[in-house]
Order: sequence, then C-alpha cells, then structure tokens
Amino acid sequence: MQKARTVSLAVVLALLVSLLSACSSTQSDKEKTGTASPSPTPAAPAEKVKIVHWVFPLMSDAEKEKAFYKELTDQFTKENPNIEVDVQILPWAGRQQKMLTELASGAGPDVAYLNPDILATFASMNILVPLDDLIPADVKADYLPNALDGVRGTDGKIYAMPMLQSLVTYLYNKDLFKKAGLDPEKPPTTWEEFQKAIDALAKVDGIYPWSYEATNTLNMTFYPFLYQAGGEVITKDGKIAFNGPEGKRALEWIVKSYQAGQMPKESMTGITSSLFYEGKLAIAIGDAGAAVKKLRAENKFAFGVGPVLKDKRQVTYGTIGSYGIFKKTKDPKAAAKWVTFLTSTETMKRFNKETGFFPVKQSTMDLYKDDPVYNQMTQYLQYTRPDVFHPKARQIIEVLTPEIQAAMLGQKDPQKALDDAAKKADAALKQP
Amino acid sequence: MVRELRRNAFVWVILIPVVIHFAVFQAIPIFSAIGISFFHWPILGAPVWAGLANYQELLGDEIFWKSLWNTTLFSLFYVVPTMASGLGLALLCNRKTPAAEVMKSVAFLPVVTSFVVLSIIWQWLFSPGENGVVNVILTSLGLRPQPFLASPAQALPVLAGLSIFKVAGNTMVYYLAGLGSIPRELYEAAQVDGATPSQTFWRVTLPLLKPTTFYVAVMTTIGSFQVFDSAFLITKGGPNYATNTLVYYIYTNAFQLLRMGYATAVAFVLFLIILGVSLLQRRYVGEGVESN
Repeated sequence: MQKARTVSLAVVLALLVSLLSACSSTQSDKEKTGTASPSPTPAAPAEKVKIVHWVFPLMSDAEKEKAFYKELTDQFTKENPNIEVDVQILPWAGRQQKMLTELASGAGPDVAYLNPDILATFASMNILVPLDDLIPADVKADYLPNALDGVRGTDGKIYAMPMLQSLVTYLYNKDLFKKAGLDPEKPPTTWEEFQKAIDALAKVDGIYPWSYEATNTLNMTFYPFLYQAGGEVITKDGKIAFNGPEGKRALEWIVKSYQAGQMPKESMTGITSSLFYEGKLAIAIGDAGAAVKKLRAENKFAFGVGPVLKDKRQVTYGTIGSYGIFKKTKDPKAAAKWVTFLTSTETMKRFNKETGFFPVKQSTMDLYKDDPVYNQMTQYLQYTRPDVFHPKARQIIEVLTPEIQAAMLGQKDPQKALDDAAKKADAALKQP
Repeated sequence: MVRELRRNAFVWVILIPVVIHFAVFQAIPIFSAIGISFFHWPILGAPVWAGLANYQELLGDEIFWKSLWNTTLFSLFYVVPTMASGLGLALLCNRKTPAAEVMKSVAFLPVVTSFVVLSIIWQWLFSPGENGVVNVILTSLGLRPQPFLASPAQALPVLAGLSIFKVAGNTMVYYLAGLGSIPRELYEAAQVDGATPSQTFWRVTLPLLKPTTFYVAVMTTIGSFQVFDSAFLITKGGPNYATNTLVYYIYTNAFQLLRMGYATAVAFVLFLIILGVSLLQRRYVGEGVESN
C-alpha cells in the first residue's frame, strides 16, 4: 500500500515536472532566438544572432515556397556565419493579431511581411525600426519612389523594405464579350463604357456581367471607385471624406447595378472570383497579376486584362508588400542585412515571377519585358495607390463595409449609409 | 498541523497541477479581463486608465445593442430546436437494434466534425445564387430560390441551423443517458394502466427527464450566447451586421480594431448576461432538480 502510494506520487511528480518544463520551453526557445551563450574559447567567432522572419504564403505551391526560402537562408548563412535566419511561413488569417499578441508577450518575429495599413498601425505603436540609416544608399536610390512612399510613416521615415507591388484592375472573359457583341480587343476604360459593356453582357443568358464583393476589403473593392470618382477616404489633415458627392456617385453606381441583378447574389456573401474562373462571370475585379497566373494554369477560356478604370481620374489600388523589422530584435543591423539580401534585384525578380506580382526597383523593371500581358500590367502600375496610410485605416474599413452592404440591400439610401459610416469613422478616429 | 499536512500531502500533489492550470487559463485571465475593461489598451504599449468610459460607450453603441439582439434571436432559433431534435433523435435511437446503433453514430458525426469543415459545407449548401445546392432543390420543386446568406432576415436562421445540426447529436447523447436511467417498471405500470404512447411520453418520460432537460437547457443556452465560429467563418457578421453576435463583436474589437479595453467591457457584460440567464433557468426550469 505504502509502496503503491510512493509510486503514484512519483508518477504525479514526474507529470508535474514535465508539465512545467513544457510551459517553460517557450522561455528557452526565446533564449535560443536571442544571443546564444558566448563560447568559452576566445578563438570562437563573435556572438551568433538568430533572426526569426514571418512570411505569409504567396506562391501557389507551398513546397516550392519552402524550398525558395531554404535556399536563400542557406546561402545567407554561408556568407554570414554569425547570422542564422529562421523563415516561418504562417497562414494569412489573423496575422495582425498573431503578431501583436506574440510581440506583447516578448516573443514573436524579428522581421515580418507587412502591408501598408498594418505598417501604419505598427509605426504608430512605435514598434518598428526606422530603416533610413540601415538601407545602403545605392539600394535606396534603386527603389521606385512610389514603393518607398508606401512604407513611410507619417513622420517621413522608412519603416520597411518593399518586395512587391500588386495591381487591382479587371479581368474579362473574351468569349463572353464576343457573345454579348462586344469587341474583346477593346475593353472599356471609362465608367460610361464600362456600364455599357455590363448592360450588353446582362443580355447573355446564364452568366453575370460583373460583381462587387461586399465582404472583401474595401482597398480592393470600394476605394478604387471612390478614387476614380475623385474622392478620398480621408483627407491629408485627417478628416473623413468618403461621404462626399464622389463617394455617393461611386456607391450609387454599385447599388444600382446590384439591385438591377447585374451581379450574382454571392457578391453579398463572399468571393465571387470562382464564378469567373468557371466562366459564369464576365468581369472580375481583383489582384490582376495573381489572377493571370491562375488563368494561364487553368487555360479554360480566352481572357484579357482590362485597363485601369477612369471617371474623373484614372487610378486604382495596388498594395506594397514589404519586410519590417521590429524593435524587439537583438541586432537590427543583422536583420537589415538579411532583408537587404532578400530584396536584392535578382531575388526580387525571381520571387515576383514565381508569385505573379510586380517588382519595385528600377533595376527589376525588365522582368516582364518578354511577356506582353504582364508587360501591359506593368504599364498600369503608374496608376496605383497603396492602402490608406492611417493608424485607423482598418477601423474605417470595419465601419464602412456593413453600411455599403446596407445600401446594396436597399436598407439605406446610399448617402445616408455613407453619412452613418462617416459618423462611426469619426468616432473611431477620436478613440484613444 | 504537520500531521494534517502530511496526511493531505498526496491530495495537494494531485491538486496542484489542476489548480495551476485553473489559475493560469481561467482565473487570472478572467480577473485581468475585468481589470482591462477599465482601461484603453491597444494590446501593445501601456494601458491608459479609462474609468467607466468603456461601459458608458457601450450603453450608447448601437452595434452593441444590435449584437445583443442578434444573439438573443440566435438563442431563440437555436436552444429549443436543438433540445427538441436531440430528444427526438434519442427517442428514435433508444433501442438495441443494429439500425439504431448505426443511426446513433450518424447523428453523432457532426459533433466530431470540425466546425470549419461544416461551415464550408453549409456555405456551399446555402449559397445565395441559383447555383446554391438548396436553391437548386427549391427550384426543382417549383419554388423560388432564396437569398439565404445574402439576406439580413435569413442569414441568422441559416447560421442557427448549422449550430443545431452540429450540436443535436451531443444533446441526443445526454438524453439517451437520461432515458436509460428511467426505471422500466414505470413504463410497465403505465402500460397496465392503459396509457397511450403519447400519454406515456408526456406523463412518464418527459417529467423524469427533467434533470437532463435542465442540464441541456443551461448548456445550450450558454453555448448560444457564445456563438462565434459560424459568424466568423461564413458571414463575417454581415450582411449589414445581421449576424454580428456578441462574441464576434468582442473579437472584432479586441483583435481587429485593437480595442482590448472595450472588448473586455463587452465580454464582462456578456458574462453578467449568461450568469443572469443561468440563474433564471435554475429558478424556473431547474425547479425540483436535485443538485448532485
């Protein structure tokens, strides 16, 4: 009896110890990611640095992407034996909250892939390293000016190194254009031409002309129309502006077309691009570079890339994908060295070719010179604007999205919906 | 004193891991959340004292009230149907035939299936266009296709349907256990007295299932107030806030808008609501149920 009790006590203690050691393993991991204990022999090289880098999948083939980073980190460590880089590929969903919660607990990455709106939030929280002095001058000079503008904080400092840019414009199904009696080689440019094409496509049985994805981020959906009409989300001095006459014009157009049945009902609930890939949707607005890559791989119908639409002005959205360095990192110089290596002209070209995005340096602009479709899209990049650069940009999207849905559903007049959203956005700007 | 400690040492050794676990994952988060609700805190950086500002804001926040209303509606669509279908399944499966065993497993399948998988299936079934599976069936029956998830009026019931589908199997298991504990003699006595099957159900089975019903009612109600997955995965709270539930609202505030203080204030109010409803249920549904 006594013996049995001793044995069970020992078992419980062992379990307890293993539990505690499981809890503390993150602690020792952290130590590992920091400076390893200095070697006792004086001949040993200087302190070793480990850099944890978070990226999010951009290639369609996950194995290929892993191999891509493996090759680069191996090469980098060979050139810099004191710096070890651990690239971790994480899912896109909830990436901002994952970074924040990890950073708040002292863990998390040293380097991460950032888009301008997350970058604005992080820069305002003062958790990113300003890179102006860490980027070599020749590299800085090589960057396209608009790419650097996309990663500048409100204080004018550079907070990340750009790797790619995207282009939002429409793609169209040439077969369906022909069926509707439209010239597939002359896609519409102005809003009037675009509406005329939609009206013609509406007469084709069994398909929808186009779609406004009411649950997608406004960066890719509403904002381009707002900009084209001449409007702004927020003025330079920080006032909400999307409820002006330009916003009304853009929203009324979307509402009218949705209510006239020119869009599939799925527009209200999710991503409609699958309908386009199936040939049931004539026009799809979205990330053009990635879409062309997919359309070519599937090769189901003849497609074309539409020009950037124009109302008062010709403008669209294109994000800047970049790598930012967090202040928690032990050695910002080593991190900057890695990021500079990763965004080198050759690697940037390779990466964008693989993902279907567009490079952001002058020395990379010849990437698509032999590919007429990508070359055409590269020409359109001059019309892109990045995300709204404001710490509250995501809040504004959060309050405006449901109001646009309300207008499309006919629950609210477009102007009233925009005004209600503006009121909420104003309140959000005032919140601490 | 020392002797007592020695006598209880084993108990302590057993208890300590549980207590540590409870403290780390339950008690400390709960109390810190209440504390945070009096601050403005964007997750990173120092919290700023807010006093009652978060609670004041909540009172005037129409989206909070809308979310509360949605959550209440969801409970109405969900709690009683889940209990009824669980009980119905239990009555059907409560026999020792092979067919009943198979049915039990089938009814339990959604419980062990991931919510993410079920959500994708549900989204596909109730897709609003002509291509949605349910709409194809409706059209073939000569009925008009419905907007389902694209409609503010229908989206919430569709989500409730998913939760019923997911949870009914679990409720069935509780009711099966409850049915098993009803003594056979009572049914024999009812038979001798010439009771019809429906009389037997209403006068014998249902009253004796009361402890089970109480437990299931409390658990499904709590579950209904915590609905999040489907709003997050299928509708993102839309269209136009029609499926914005309280927990989804807490999530958006905390992790998308980085307003931890406000989110925890909403969470604390939700806690009070669940506590209040559970107490009411104990008073009215749980009357006469022995707590053992």
